[in-house]
Amino acid sequence: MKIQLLPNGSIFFHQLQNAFFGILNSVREPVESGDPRVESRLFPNPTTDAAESDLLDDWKSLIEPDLHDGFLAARESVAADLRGVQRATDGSLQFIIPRSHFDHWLSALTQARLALAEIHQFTDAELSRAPGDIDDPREFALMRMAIYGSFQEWIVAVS
Amino acid sequence: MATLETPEIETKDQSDLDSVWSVIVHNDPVNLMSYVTLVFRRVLGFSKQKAERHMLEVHNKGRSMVWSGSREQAELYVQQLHSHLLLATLEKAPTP
Repeated sequence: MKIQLLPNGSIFFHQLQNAFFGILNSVREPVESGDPRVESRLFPNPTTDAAESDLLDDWKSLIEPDLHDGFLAARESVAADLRGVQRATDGSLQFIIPRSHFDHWLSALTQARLALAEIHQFTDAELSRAPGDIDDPREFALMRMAIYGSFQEWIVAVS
Repeated sequence: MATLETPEIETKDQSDLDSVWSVIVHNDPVNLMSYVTLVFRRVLGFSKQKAERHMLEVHNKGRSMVWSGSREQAELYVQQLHSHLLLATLEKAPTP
């Protein structure tokens, strides 16, 4: 895979292989899995003080819907960019992330990484090492997190 | 002509409004250090050096107090940090 920063500030990813693109294209899946642990992590409480019941109630009813909409909008923006993928003459894939979508990508990639960590309940030690045999679903999830993390680093570097 | 009911207006306790509130960012093992630094610069207006200092404090000590002031502003910052998927809470600052 090659990465090129275009004159207009967008990022051009090209010479991607199908499998790699497939992993990118499934960035929404863990977030939208319905796992309650994912919901808890994406929408944490704003206070650890259980006595702040008014704040917690207001947060649930007023703030969380806005957060939910923002996270969904980010995932849909990323999905739209990925639908713009094109196949090059050598069979590899290429697509562009417009500069105006960088924050959407950072959000969607972070959502996916957090969701995968919650679903698989990775330990700190697992999160710190390279993935092993990707036939193992947990190791495959670690690889996905590593790939999404790399994309995040590239976007942060040019943001 | 129909009469309008007076809406019930809840006000925060005056002591809450007068107190100083802190915004605490908590560590999580997933968020990238570069991303946390970027969020601190964007949301809190930190310089690169200050953002990195607080990011390292979160990483090494598990939490960092990134702002203190009015409760209303503290709630806004926590909301913005949550929108960037950071773990953040507001706490009443201890009285000196």
